[in-house]
Parts: sequence; C-alpha cells; structure tokens
Amino acid sequence: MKRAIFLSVLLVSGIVHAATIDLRASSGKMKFLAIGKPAMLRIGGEGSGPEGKIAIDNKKVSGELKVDLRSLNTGIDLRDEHMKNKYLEVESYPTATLTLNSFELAKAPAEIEGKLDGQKFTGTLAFHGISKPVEGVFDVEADGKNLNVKAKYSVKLSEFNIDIPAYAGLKVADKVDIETSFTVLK
Amino acid sequence: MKWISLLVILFGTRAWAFPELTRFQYNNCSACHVSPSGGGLLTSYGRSLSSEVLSTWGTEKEAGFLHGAVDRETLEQWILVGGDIRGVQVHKENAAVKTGRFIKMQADMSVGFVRDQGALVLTLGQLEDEVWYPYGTSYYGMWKPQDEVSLRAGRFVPQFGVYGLEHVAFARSFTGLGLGATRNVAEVQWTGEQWTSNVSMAKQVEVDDPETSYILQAQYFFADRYKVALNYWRGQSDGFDRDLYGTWMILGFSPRLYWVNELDWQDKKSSSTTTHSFVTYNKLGYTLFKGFDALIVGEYQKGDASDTSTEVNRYGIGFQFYPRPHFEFTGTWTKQNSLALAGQEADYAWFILHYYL
Repeated sequence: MKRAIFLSVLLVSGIVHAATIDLRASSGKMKFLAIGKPAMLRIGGEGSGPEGKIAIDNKKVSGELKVDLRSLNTGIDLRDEHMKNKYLEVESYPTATLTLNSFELAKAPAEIEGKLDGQKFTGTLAFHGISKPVEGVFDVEADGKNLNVKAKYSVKLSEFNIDIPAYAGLKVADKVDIETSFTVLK
Repeated sequence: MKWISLLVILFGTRAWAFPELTRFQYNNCSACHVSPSGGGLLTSYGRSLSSEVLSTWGTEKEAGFLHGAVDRETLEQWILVGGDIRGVQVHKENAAVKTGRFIKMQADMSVGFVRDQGALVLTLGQLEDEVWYPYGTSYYGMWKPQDEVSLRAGRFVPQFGVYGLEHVAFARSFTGLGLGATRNVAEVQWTGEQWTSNVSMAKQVEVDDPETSYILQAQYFFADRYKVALNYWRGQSDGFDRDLYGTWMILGFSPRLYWVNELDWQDKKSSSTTTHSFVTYNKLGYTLFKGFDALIVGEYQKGDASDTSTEVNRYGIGFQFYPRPHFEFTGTWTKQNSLALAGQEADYAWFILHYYL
C-alpha cells in the first residue's frame, strides 16, 4: 500500500512539473539597446511581449518566442520610421522568432525562490529572413505565484543582412542587445 | 541699471544646450553638438532632433542651415555652419521701482570642420554695449583618437555644472561662468555609454588678475533617463584661491517630466578672509505638448555661510516654447527676496528670443 501511495505522489509530482505555457504579447515586453557612435548614444526601444509556447518538464525548458517588430517604439517617430521601414523592413519581415533548444534550469520552476540568474540557453533566431544560432541567458525571478522571466541575448545586425543604421553622422554599432521578458505562473 | 548689467553677466554669451534631453535617452551632448560639453554648433543629427523632438511644428528639411535653403547633405559633407541671434526683454518691479528694457544679447556665427577624428570650430561675433565686433569669441581644435576619447584645446567655456538654460541662474555668477566665461582651456574627456568624465585646465583671459583652474567632472547616466554628476574646481590667482565642489543631476522621470538640480559649495580665500558660500538651482519641467514646457524654478544662494543677510531666494514659474526649428522662446517670472532687501520682494521677469541659423 505504502508503495502505491509513494508512486502516486511521484506521478502527481511529474504532472505538476510538466506544462506547456501559451505566451501572450500582453504578458511581457521586448526591449533592445544599441549604441550610436561617435557620441556613445544609447538607443533603446521596446515593443510588445513574445507570443508562442514554452514547454517545461521539470527542469527542462524549450519553446518558441515570437515578437512583433511592428510594435517597436524608441520614443522618436522619425527614428521608428527609419528603423522599421529602412532597416528592419517590417512589411516584409514583421516578426522575429527565437526557437529555444531544450536546456536545463538549475532548479525546477516550482522550486525557484528569489532569483535564479544566468541560466544559459542556445537557440535559433529567425530575423529579417535569415536564421542564425544565438546564445544567451535566462534570468528568472519568483514573485509570489508568478515567475518573471527575461531572456537576454545579443545579435549582430550584419549577420542578419541588415544595413548598419546610420543617420546624420551617427552610426549604430553592429551589436544590439535584446531582452525579451514575460511572466508565467509558477 | 546695475541689475540689467547683472542680467547681461548672468545670461552670458553662450548658446544653449538642452541637457533635459536625457529623458529621451540622450546621455551625451555630442550627439547634437560638436562640443563634447554641449552648446554652440549643432551637428547634423542635432538639427534633425530639433524638429523631431524639440519643436511643435516643422520639417526635417527646415531644421537645416538657413531653413534648408542650402542643400544639407552637400554642405555638411564639408563644413557645419551655425549662428545665434538672441535678445531678452527684462522687467523688474518692487515697491520703489518698475523698469524694463530690451537687450541685444548675442549675434555670432560659427563654422566647423568636423570629421570622425576631430574638429576645428570658430565662433565670430560679440556684442559689447550692444555694439557688434567681429571678435573670435570661441574657438578650439579637437582630436578624437577613439570614439570615447577627445582632447580639446582653445578658448571655450570649461565644464562645470549644468550647461543649459540655467545660465540665468545664480549658479552661473557664483561659479564665475557668466560673461567672459570663455577661458583658455585644455581638456581631456572620456565619453562612455554611462560614465563620462573630463579633466580640464583653464586660464581666465582679459582680466587683471586671471584665475588658473584645474577642473574635474564625472557624470553617470543610469536607467536610461537619469544623469548625476560630481564636479571639483581648484582655482588660483594672485588675489585669491578657491575650492569649488558641485553636484548636479538631471532626472527624467518620464518623457514629459524632468527635474534639473545644481548644488555648489565654495571655499574662497583671499589674503585676509576665508568665505564659505553655497548656491542651489532647481528646475522642474513638464512638457504640456511637444515643444512647450511649463517650468517651476527655485534658487537659493548664501554668499557667506556665516551671515544670514547674504541669503537670497528666488522662485517662480516659466516656460520654454520651441514652435519651429530655429526659433526658441523662454520666459520666466520670479519673486526674489533677501534680508538685504529688508524683506522687500522684487519681481523679476525675462523673456528671451533666440533664433539660430
């Protein structure tokens, strides 16, 4: 009898730890930061959060995060127009999709208390019509019943066949830092 | 008329910069100005920003030199050209006196040969007693061995405190960076994404007892909209020496709301006396609509920390209005009181018209 109860607990435990989560754009946001030279100008912007699915099986995580590039906003209309139409060409390539290779968190989501930073991941980014491998880190922070998750990685614009943005003597550095954040139930 | 002369001194002859643009993530002046300390000759990017961010109306083309009459791309491949014309209507009123007049403040022209590796900039034209002279008021050569590093030498305003509309503030005369603020300066600056620091050596010119100064400044930009800075100034002349310690900050709480603060403390020693004094400046701005900011300003100065009769308060309201590129209007109305005025408050108001080429 004891053995059966123990087995049931294990099975239930397994069900709790395995889940597929649908992400909605409203539950997060995507931010980017580029540096404009020679003034070392910080050009930041943000857009709606990712859509897609995250599959969690105990400590294992995989999934797909798709962001709508048309939602990006830097706070300056002309800059947004140049960014979206001249460089990102959002009419032809409206989204960017990060497909995560399966990776392991140091702890299962249900066990995370406080912060769990620097969880390395690899994946493939489909952006501007080109797919390239990327790597980055997940920072996870428990907030009551929620987990706030940030996926941080960098891309080189030139690798995605995007012209290096330049305007009126200011040129953006090739490397752009990206942070995609979302919230899920623990 | 002393107060009018004082205003002339306070306003100085420098073109303005807009440090409040930190609220749009503009962490360094050199995006919009050739000078790393801001003000003066605009870069091509700065001209675009004047229509895109600062002005209520306007087009990208009209922000160019002479309202875009000269083909911008062709011109700016070779040189940058600018110029400033400025005047102020001032008004003072208390129980004993009510007076006002218009003062021509500035009429100059700047030309700059600017490349990635450096720049040569010359500003010509100075108004003295409202008569224009073709003097070189400011000039410098700058070398940029790296994007982050600039070495600059010439005659310009050394960096200390906030460099913006605050030229009208007590802090400008307190630090000695009003009229004649251009000095012979050698400066090294490191400009980073978050940290910017500079070291300068400056010598006053065209005065009987010139001050030689060594100046340090460190600025830190954080959370994409906030900037704080520390300054130190060591000055010596035959008649005095002084240590000036300062902090300033520009807090962009949102793209509409910002606060500018400067606080300076001075220890000044002459042969017989040592005076401790301090000054603070505050400006709270809110953008009601693009190009129009409502302001609340407050200043406090104590010329001698041990003597309450040297206290002066000034507080009031104002506005900044930039209707189109090239046109800038600023107005402030303040009440000023001090023990020296035996409790008599005086109203000071000024309305500045600024046109740049």
